[in-house]
Formats: sequence, structure tokens, C-alpha cells
Amino acid sequence: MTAAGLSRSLGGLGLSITLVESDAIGTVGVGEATLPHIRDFNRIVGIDERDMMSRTAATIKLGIEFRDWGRPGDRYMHPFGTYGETIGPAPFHHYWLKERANGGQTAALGDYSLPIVAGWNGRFEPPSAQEGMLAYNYAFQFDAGLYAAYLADVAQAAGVKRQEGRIVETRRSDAGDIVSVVLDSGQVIEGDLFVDCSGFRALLIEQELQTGFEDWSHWLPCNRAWAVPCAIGAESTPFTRATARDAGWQWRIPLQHRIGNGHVYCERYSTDQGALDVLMGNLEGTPIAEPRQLVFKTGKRRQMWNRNVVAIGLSGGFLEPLESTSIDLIQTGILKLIDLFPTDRCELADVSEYNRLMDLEYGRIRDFLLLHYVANQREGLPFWDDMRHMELPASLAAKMDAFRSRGLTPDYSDGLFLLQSWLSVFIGQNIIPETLDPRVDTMSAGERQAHLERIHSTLLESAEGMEEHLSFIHQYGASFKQSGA
Amino acid sequence: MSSAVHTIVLAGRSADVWPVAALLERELPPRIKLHVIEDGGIYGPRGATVPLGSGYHTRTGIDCATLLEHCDAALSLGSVLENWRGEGSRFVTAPSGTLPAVGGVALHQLLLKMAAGNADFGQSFAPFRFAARAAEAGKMALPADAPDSPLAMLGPQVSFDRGRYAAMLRARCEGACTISKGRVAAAQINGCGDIGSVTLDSGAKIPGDFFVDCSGDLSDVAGCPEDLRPLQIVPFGQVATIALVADRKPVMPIYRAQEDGLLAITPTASGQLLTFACSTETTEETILQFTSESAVIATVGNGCTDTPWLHNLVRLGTASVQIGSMLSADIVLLQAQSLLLADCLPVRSQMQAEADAFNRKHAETVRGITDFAFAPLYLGAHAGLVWEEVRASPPPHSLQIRIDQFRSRARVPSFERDYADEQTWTELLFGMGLQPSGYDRRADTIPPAHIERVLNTIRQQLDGALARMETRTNFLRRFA
Ligand SMILES: Cc1cc2nc3c(=O)[nH]c(=O)nc-3n(C[C@H](O)[C@H](O)[C@H](O)COP(=O)(O)OP(=O)(O)OC[C@H]3O[C@@H](n4cnc5c(N)ncnc54)[C@H](O)[C@@H]3O)c2cc1C
Repeated sequence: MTAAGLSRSLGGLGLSITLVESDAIGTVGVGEATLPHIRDFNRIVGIDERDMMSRTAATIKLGIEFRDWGRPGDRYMHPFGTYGETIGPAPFHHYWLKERANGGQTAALGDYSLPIVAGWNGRFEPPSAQEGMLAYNYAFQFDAGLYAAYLADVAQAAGVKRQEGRIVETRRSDAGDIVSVVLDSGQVIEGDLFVDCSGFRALLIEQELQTGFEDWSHWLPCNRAWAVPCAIGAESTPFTRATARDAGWQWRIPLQHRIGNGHVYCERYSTDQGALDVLMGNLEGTPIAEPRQLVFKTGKRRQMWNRNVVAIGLSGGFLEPLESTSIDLIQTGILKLIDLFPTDRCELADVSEYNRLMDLEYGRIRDFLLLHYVANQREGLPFWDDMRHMELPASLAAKMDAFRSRGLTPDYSDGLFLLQSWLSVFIGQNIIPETLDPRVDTMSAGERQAHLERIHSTLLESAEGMEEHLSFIHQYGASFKQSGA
Repeated sequence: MSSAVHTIVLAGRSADVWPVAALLERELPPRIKLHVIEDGGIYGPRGATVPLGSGYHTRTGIDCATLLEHCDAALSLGSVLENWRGEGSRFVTAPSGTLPAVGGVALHQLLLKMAAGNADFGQSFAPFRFAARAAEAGKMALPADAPDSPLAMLGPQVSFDRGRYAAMLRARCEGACTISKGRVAAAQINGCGDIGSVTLDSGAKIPGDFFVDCSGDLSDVAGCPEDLRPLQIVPFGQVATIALVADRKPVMPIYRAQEDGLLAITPTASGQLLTFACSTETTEETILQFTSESAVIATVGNGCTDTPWLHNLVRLGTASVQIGSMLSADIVLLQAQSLLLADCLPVRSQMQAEADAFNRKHAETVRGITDFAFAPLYLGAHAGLVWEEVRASPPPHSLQIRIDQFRSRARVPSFERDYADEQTWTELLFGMGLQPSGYDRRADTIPPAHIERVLNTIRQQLDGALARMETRTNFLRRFA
């Protein structure tokens, strides 16, 4: 992904980009759910969406369904879109909450969000509106290995040299910068800038530069996962599912030809075998590969860019896969690197700026992920009880207090998860504000009900007019072509 | 037990209190009562220039016609910075939306690439400073006149006497809120540290559930901590202000750096307002030389609190931030504070979460406005002790990042709740003489011939739009 991004954006500079990859080591091999920003990345590198979908078995993703996260039996969706529209001086959700508090016959909050209504109905069509209640976005659920192969083609066509081999040594200048890496074949590869995409190994950024790791596992303690694909048993929904389990949660990611499944858990609360049993006992179809175990630690590198090394991907950090943020963080890292790409040498001002922006991004995502865990009412289960009672980062505590007390949502404009995302989890996990924006009372109950009804029926009608999800993919010409032929 | 907020009491001088009251009056339901305690008119600068079509005016329901009719207001598309790059220098800063990027690369980056090695980059950039050109040419339009044209980038601004503006806002609120005249002499604080009521110098007692102090007196009597952290960037301890009827008033607000201080000239429909800010050591004789015999001289503070909202009292305006009137930062901030307050208003006596949210957003807002208003102070080159002192002190961290990034690669980083667009920042930083040592490397991936073509097309579009724009005089006939 990094090679494709750099070569397509900066290839014209005459840069020489070499990608070193070791088949013997392989990749982490999971990561199937994405976020809508990936469409921007695809555009930047010149990828035809249809073609990409057909070569990666991609389905459409309109959001993530969360099951059993608040209380057992609860169900909500975090959508890639908005709720309602502006109907008065207060934010939309306050009018909805007011109606609900007054005992009105209001639909669920999700029924005021087009991607949710479409998602529940298994429908999809590309969005036509940029703003207002009909605006939304979408992402993909795909085979990340195939996507990587697709990007490898894009990168190599743009001039990237792919070098198979294992890096066994790193050489540095007197000043401490990395000047070359040595492969097991003895080949020396020199460079001015090194992008460390070596995964959890963090070969350059940590093993060589010892940049340091900010361990966030006291906040996000899940540290293991079992992953297994299975045959499609139910329907291929245009959304990913995350179901809470006793010591973690289970993912379900429907692709065109199979379902990706995994169980993320914390080893302090479950044995490996117990976690595997939970996963295998909750598959909707026959497993089509052996389950694989993954071990990780949540947190991030103290500096994503250190000297002339930029860590992108798992080498930079990992925040667990609950909201499909890893590929997105890779993309963010690439785009910011392009934005700050050095001319002759890495300037301190640019390195600091890169690290400032990445820190901000990681911090906000961490808080958002953590919210899912702490806002639970799954009483009597040690994992969930401990999550509920943990000491929160001050930044998250403030966001939760603001919502709980007065329905104030985080409103930063630069970041992955904005107001609507926070709102979906707050309400979806039963955090109901104690008081509402007083400005809702400038509208009469009748007017309010009329607005809510109008929005609800408009969205329902729009969703009903959409194509069934899989038939859209078929008609779009994006059906999976196994060999990529 | 938490009790409900039924009455909001706002106190301050009329120029400070009415901008806040007018917005709350407009947005709050009738069950919440506003009680405004008005104490005198204006203290400090009288002239102000604020965005015309800002969120504040939209939400308060104030349009251009109202401002022209009731406030003796003057419209402009930019402000002049005089002498900032040395005696006799002149630069127009004009609020502007950002020009479209080409192939994902900001237009000024392409210009930098094309001008590489050419010392006079300013010349090649000038045709693309659409809003500034329109301002200089005495043109006027509203973005809504042609939203799909370059006019959409314009950021018209309105200048007025804060006294007239306050009177207009007051008239809108009369009948909808209770008004008391007088000075707050005492505050009755309950066991939780909340204000229960305030007593005026007349002896009248005004109870309330939530209090808004717009000028500072209420905070003083309520025993608020003296927590205004000094802002080194505001080196002025006194201001003199005067309204003059003038035949030859400026077409745009002027901010003139002088050896002894800063002279702001604010045009109005019928004249101009002068505000001279200088250090406390400046003699009265010098001050009057730049203003007039009858100028009112006031001492002003310098500082900013990180916690403007404490218990059930929120401090706004000079009660919370004293940043002076460079680019009308003070009144721009007051309007922004009003919007934040309306969005965070409490419903009950337990209001810590609202206070925390407000205080955080407030800090971001202050950062955006002060960075922009004070960038010229750091980057200017005007001689004089007062300016040298400013330049010797470190800029706020966020401004330093902006300066470093611009110097490195002409990049304009954005921060939450920023005040100015990328284009406006770019123009200001270039205009203040900051020379980037590099540019966005993506600019080198676009063939020069293509860049030339695109730049020509854009230049022609801007020229055409400028030629078609009305003069300000013609524009004003719409409202006659
Ligand atoms: C349980 C789990 C579930 C996930 N689910 C999602 C998801 O749904 N969505 C999402 O966006 N992300 C998800 N992720 C994250 C996602 O898998 C990764 O972000 C993505 O695969 C990219 O990983 P990477 O390239 O950084 O590391 P890796 O995939 O580990 O790749 C490292 C590369 O470095 C090479 N390498 C390493 N050492 C050497 C060496 N010495 N010499 C030469 N080459 C070397 C390897 O050969 C390999 O090519 C998930 C992660 C986990 C653990």
C-alpha cells in the first residue's frame, strides 16, 4: 500500500523506490474490513473501484453492526453516514432524544440514518448526495491479501522495484541515520529514507532505532485473536458484524465468496482453547481453512517518524481491529508522509509535524475504541466488569461526561471518527444524556414529530429504492474473478 | 439535587453584553429568561471589523441590510496592514476561501514551483489573490451572489462603531428580556460556590441560575481567581479611541504599525474610528498626536484564562481574554464565544461537563484567532522597542508550528476551530515576508506545461470575475 501510494503520488520525481519483502516471513494475513477513506486512497493511486472489487472479492460495507455490546440482546450499527438533518438550532439527536423522553412513538436512532436503513435491508447504491440526510459513504470488505497483490501490481507498474529477501542487517551513518539494509543473500540496499512496514517486528523503527513503544494494553487489553474463514451460511450483508463475547468479541466479515471470522480476546480472561471453541462454535458455515492464532499488544510507537525512518502499519502501532482502523492508519501514515515528503533530508519541523498529527490520530481512535468497551452493561462477566470500572484516559472521560450530562458530542473536524460515529456508540450502548440542549424547546412537539416522521419515511423510501446488495455488485461488474483474469 | 436553569443573567458594558444576549435571545426558548445588566457603553476600542456572513450573524438573524441601516456600517473585502514590513510597506489581508487544488496540489505550491529561483514570487502570486484584488479595486459582492464562481471565495467584512452595533442588538432584544442599568457591586455566593444573585450599585438584587460576565466586573466581585495568563504578544497597556467624521475615510480598515504602537483606522458609513494602542510608557502627548484631543484613553490588560467557565459563571469578552484589537481579534472572539456558549448552555445547576466542554473549545478558538491576528506581530519588521520586544518572545506553540511548516515547505497546517482558511493564511504569511525554502514535492510530478495552462485558465477566470464585480458604490445601491 505504501509503495503504491508513494510511487503513484511521487513517482514523477524520479524517486527510486525499492520494496523488500520476505515470502519466508510472510504477512500477518488478516484485515478484511476497511473504512470509507480507502476510496480516497484508491482514487489517489488511480484504482478503478469495479476492477479492484472483482479482484479482491469485495463486498460493500455501510457500517459495523454491534451485537450485545451494551446489554446482551442489544444491536446497533455504526454507520458511514449521518443521522437526520438540521431541523433547528440544536443538533438533530437532541430532537430525537426529546421525542423519546416524552414517550413519543419515535423510531430507533438508526432509522434516521440512510446507510443503516439500507444496511439492515441488505440494499446498496452509490450515494448521490454530498450533504444532508441522504449523504453517506461506503467502504469495502475484501481479501486483504488480494488487495495487497493488486496494489503490488499498481506499484510495480509505477516503477517500484520489488526485492524478495530477508533483511538480516541494518547499517547506519556516523550521524545515526540508516544508510542501508543487508539481505540474507548479501545484497546491500541503500536509501535516503526508509519506510518500516515490517509489521509487529518493527525491524528498523524499534529493533534498530529503539524508538520506544507506548503500551496501551491497560486500556485496550485484548491481545490475542483466532481467525478462520468459513463458507457463507446466511446472507452477505453490506456491513461487518462485531459480537461481544465473554472475554472479547467476534468479527464476521462477509466477502463475495466466504465469510471472514475471528475472535479477539484477552488472555487474562480466557484460555486459548476456550477462545477457539467460542469461535468455532459460532460460525455460520463450514470452516474452509485451519484457524490461525495471532498475538499482539495494543499501543503505538513513541515516534512514528524517527531520524530517516517512518513506521507505517503494524510497525507503528496497533489498536486492535474493532473498528477496522489499521488499514486506515496505514493510509493516513502514507498520505501524511507524501504531504511532508523530504527534499534533501528529514527536517526536524516536518518530522515533528508528522509525529504530532499521527499522535493526535492514534489518541482519538484509542478513545473511540475504548468507549465500546467501557460503555457496557454486561454485568457479572469479569472482563466486562473490569472494563466498565477501569480508569479512563482524561480525554475519553471528558467526552463521556459531556455526552452523559448534556448530550454534547465530540466535534473535532479532523480525524477518523467524527461526531456521528461517537453518537452511534453512545446511544447504541445506552448512554442517554441526563439533560438536553434547551434549544430543542423552541420547536413544538407537533413540529418535531412531523420532522422526524418526514425524515424517517424519506430514508425508508430511499433505501427501498436501492438495489439488493449482491445484485448491485453483480450489475456493477464487480463480481469476484478468482484468478484475477 | 440539581435545580433547573430558568434565568440567565448577563452583565457587562453594552458593547460587550449585547452581542451575547442577542444570540441567546434568538436561540433560547421563552421559558428561559434573560436578564441583562448593562453598565455603561464601551471601554477601550470603539471600531470593529468582523466577518459579515459569519456563523454569528447567520444565527443571530442579522443580514447585510440590517447592519447598513442601523449601524452606520461600512463593507469591505479586506484590511490593510501598513508599515509591517518596514516604513511605507502596505499589504492587504483579505479573508478568502481556498483556490482549487490541481491534481491534489495546492495552487500556491504550483506557483512556488514555477517561480523557483525567481526572487519575486509575490508577483506571480498576486493575480491569484482574488479577494485582496477585489478589495483593492473597491469592488464588492457577497459569496451568495454566485456560489459557483470565484465570488464564493470572498469573505466580506463589516466595520462599525461598537456602540451603534450594540444599540442595534439591544433593540432586537428589548421586550424579550429584562434589562437593568447599573454596575454589579456584589455577588451572593452559595455553599457550593455558585452565584445565587448579584446586587447592583443601586441596591437592586437580581437572582439568577447562570451568570455571564462580559466585561469583568462581575468576576471581580464574585471573587474569581485572577487567572489571566499573560500573553506576551499583546504588548499594549493603553488604548485611545475616537470617532471622527471624515471626508476621506479609508475604503478598508487599516492596521498601521507605528514606532510607538498600533493605529487601527476603522471606516464607517459616515466617518472613521481611530484606535491607538501603545505601551503604558507612551506619553499622552504622543497618543493624542495619533488620535485627537478628545480621544478617550483607557488602560487595558493583557491575558487569557484557561477556565473561563467556573461554577455557574462564565466569563466572556475582556473578562476572559484581553487580546486587543489587532484585526478586531477582541470582537471576533466575543462573537465566537457567544456561539460556543449557545452550543454548551447548561440546563441545571450541575454544569461541570458543559463547563469543561466549553473551556476546551474556548481554548481552541482563542488559539485560532490569536495565531492569525498576531502572526504579523511576530513576522513584521517594524522598528521600535515595542515591536522588537514582541519579536524577541517565543510565539505560541501552534503559531510556531505554522511558521515552521510554512518556512519549510509552504504548508499551512490546520488546527481545530481555526479562524482563517488556508488561502488567507498563505497570503498573510507570504505577505509578511516568510519565504518557504521548499514546496510540496508533488508539484514536481505535474508537467510545467500543464501547470502553466491551468494557471492561465484560473487567472482568466479570476480576472473575468473581478471585471464583472460591482463597485462598492453600486453594490450599496441594492440596499438604498
Ligand atoms: C487479529 C487482527 C485482525 C485485523 N483485522 C483488520 C481489519 O479488519 N481491518 C484492518 O484495516 N486491519 C486489520 N488488521 C490489521 C492488518 O492486518 C494490518 O494492518 C495489515 O495487514 C498490514 O500489516 P503490516 O503490513 O503492517 O504487517 P505485516 O502484514 O506483518 O507485513 C510485514 C511485512 O514485512 C515483511 N518483513 C518483516 N520482517 C522482514 C525482514 N526481516 N526482511 C524482509 N521483510 C520482512 C514481511 O515479509 C511482510 O511482508 C488486523 C490485525 C489483526 C492482528
